[in-house]
Amino acid sequence: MDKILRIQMGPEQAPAARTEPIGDYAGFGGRGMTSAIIAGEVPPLCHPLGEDNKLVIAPGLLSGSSAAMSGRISVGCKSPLTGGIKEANSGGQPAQVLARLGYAAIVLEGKPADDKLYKVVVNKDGVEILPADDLKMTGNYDAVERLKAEYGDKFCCLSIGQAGEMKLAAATVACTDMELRPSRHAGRGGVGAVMGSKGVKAIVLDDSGMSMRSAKDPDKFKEANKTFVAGLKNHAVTGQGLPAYGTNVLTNVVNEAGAYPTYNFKTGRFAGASAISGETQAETETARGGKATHGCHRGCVIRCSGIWMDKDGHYLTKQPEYETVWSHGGNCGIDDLDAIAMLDRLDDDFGLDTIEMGATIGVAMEAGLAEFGDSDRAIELVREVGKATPLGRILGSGAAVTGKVFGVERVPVVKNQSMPAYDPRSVQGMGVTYATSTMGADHTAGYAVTANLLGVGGNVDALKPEGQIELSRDLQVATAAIDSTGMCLFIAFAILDQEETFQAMLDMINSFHGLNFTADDVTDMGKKILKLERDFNERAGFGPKDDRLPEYFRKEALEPHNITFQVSDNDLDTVYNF
Amino acid sequence: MAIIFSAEVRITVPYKRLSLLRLLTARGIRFEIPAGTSVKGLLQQVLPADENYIEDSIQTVFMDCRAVDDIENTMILGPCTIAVSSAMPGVFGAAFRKKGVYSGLRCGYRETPGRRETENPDKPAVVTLKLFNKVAEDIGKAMLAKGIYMDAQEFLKFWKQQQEVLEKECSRTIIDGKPAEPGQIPQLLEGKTGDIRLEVLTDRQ
Repeated sequence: MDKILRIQMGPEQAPAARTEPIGDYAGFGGRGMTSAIIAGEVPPLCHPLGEDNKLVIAPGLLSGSSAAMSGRISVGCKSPLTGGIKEANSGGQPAQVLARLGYAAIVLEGKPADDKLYKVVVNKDGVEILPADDLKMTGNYDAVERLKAEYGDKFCCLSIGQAGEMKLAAATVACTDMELRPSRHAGRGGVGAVMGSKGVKAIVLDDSGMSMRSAKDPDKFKEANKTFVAGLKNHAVTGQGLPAYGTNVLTNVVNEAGAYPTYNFKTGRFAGASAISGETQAETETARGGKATHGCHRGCVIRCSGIWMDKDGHYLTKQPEYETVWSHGGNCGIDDLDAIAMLDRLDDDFGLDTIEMGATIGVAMEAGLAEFGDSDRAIELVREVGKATPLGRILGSGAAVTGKVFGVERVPVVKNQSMPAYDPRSVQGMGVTYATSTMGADHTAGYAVTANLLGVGGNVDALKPEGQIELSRDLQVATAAIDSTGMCLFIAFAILDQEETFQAMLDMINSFHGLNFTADDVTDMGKKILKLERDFNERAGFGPKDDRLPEYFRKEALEPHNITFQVSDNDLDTVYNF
Repeated sequence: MAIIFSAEVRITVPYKRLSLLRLLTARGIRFEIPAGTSVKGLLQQVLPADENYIEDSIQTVFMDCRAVDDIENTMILGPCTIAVSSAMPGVFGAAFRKKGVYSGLRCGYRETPGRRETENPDKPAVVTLKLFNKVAEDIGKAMLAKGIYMDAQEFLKFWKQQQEVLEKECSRTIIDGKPAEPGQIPQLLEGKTGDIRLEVLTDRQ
């Protein structure tokens, strides 16, 4: 993984590929790599869909090895949704395959002079850029089926659906899973629109003939990986809760906490939560012959995903994640798992971010385009995107645009990106992360990893309310570091509680790369990435006014706790004081 | 003091379907306990689980939508809803875990207020207890077999949502001591208010 593949899509020349040494980007992986290239090479004031923007696709530092959980791939660019820097990451097979092909990144540059569509094929023999007009305006599922007819079933791919081709701000980059289904998505921030602007429909990756990346100290690496896996399996969250119920295990609990945004963030509880809970979902999946426990990529040992079958026992989609079940479910007043699964399938097929689309439909319901709870109408609205109607294009541009078009004040976005499934009035520290993240409202920007282990920002007394700023900062720093490894963020639960599991992760990185990283070095890496991103955003015109929640979160009290967002602006402005 | 119930429902399902019925325990099981009992005391009294399980496996506890950190010193003084869960993922899970490192993230209603003093220890309190995820998996079956009290309309809502499977799979249904067809349940329970007593048996123990 010592080279970067740069693909120039035009307009001065026909699309062409060149490979160059990793050079100054050595030591970067995943989000670190995408953000370093974007911050260093993309003019911050450029148009996100213009020729000066770049789309960077990077596996993590441990991807392509036998390290458990190392299959996340990062996709970065200047975001057409937020206008700032963006990294969206995804599971599926591409991280492992791209890393085994030896590439630390693929960078799509320029823009075709015409509206032709291309596919990029990468294998052990090199790179080809081929016309793909036959795939125009196909959904991801259809596109992958056609690619299978041409390339067999030994490849994996990244692709865009209709939303990406239309360059809509909610468009995703789809990644195929182990069954070659385009069910995993780099979802947030409109990365699919940037891929569409480059005229690239699909990137086909085939690592046949390539071997697994090997560690500099194989014995130490093997031992560390073994300890790491044991830590994951022994932990109640990664070893029991997530495998059994998936991420949707959170529905009942978040609802019980009064933090479940319902009816477009009007209340913190949803009466239909039990019907769409992870427990109900897992039971239904098993009863219909699907799977309640399933990995999204090779090397996953948590296996928090699943397979959702329709009522007749046919595959419909992967197990919708907690965020999806919330956004299309409780947020829209819908308590029907089959309807939610259909919405997930449509989002995946058209290439749409499920969080953004659920929030958008919620705003559309507030605007009167549908009644809350009307699942049939919600499905019709999402289908509008696939049909490329004017309404569909508005909805596919996200909640902020939809709110403006229909005159809705209550639009739950920060930096134009929709909030995920935790109301910031009930989880105020999460609100700090939503407000200040370089990515826009993003729950994964400050996910986990203990402040005590990493020691970021000094020793925080977490039981004091004033600790929230520090906690959010610690979490954002740590998350940026984890996102660079290619490891799934869900490892955080085990390394949060078990020091030996955290150490095993460090040992894996060190033995693989011949390094001697300490927790402080991991922290420094996270800080460096955040500073790069923050600097890019500042140069793109972002300032303190952008690090705010929408006004109504300070004015409308949320039931059942009757609480507003209370962290002061002054405090929010101190998050990046490090 | 026994809970007054408007109907007694006894259903028998194949063993493999018990996991479906177990979902009922997330919708609320009713208990009466003396006011002034601690949350831990309640769990010890009503759950078929030992102290280690309550301390170690139940990692997330809510009382009336507020996280409870100290189950020993949080008292139940009147009607309330308590929900129990295993450790939860994400920063949310970490924030809401009992005495979790990240509990500061839930600032605003961190403590369960006003529940430490006992006002009337002789008065019983009606508690609705919800069992989520792994806790329901570990304990739910035993509770269903022993019999639970739950809201009649909540049961009916669940039944209607799972009607297709339940009508097909229930081998025996008895309502108030009389055999009934599974398909008759909605009709027989439609007008019921308050709680029912529910017992779930299996064809194979």
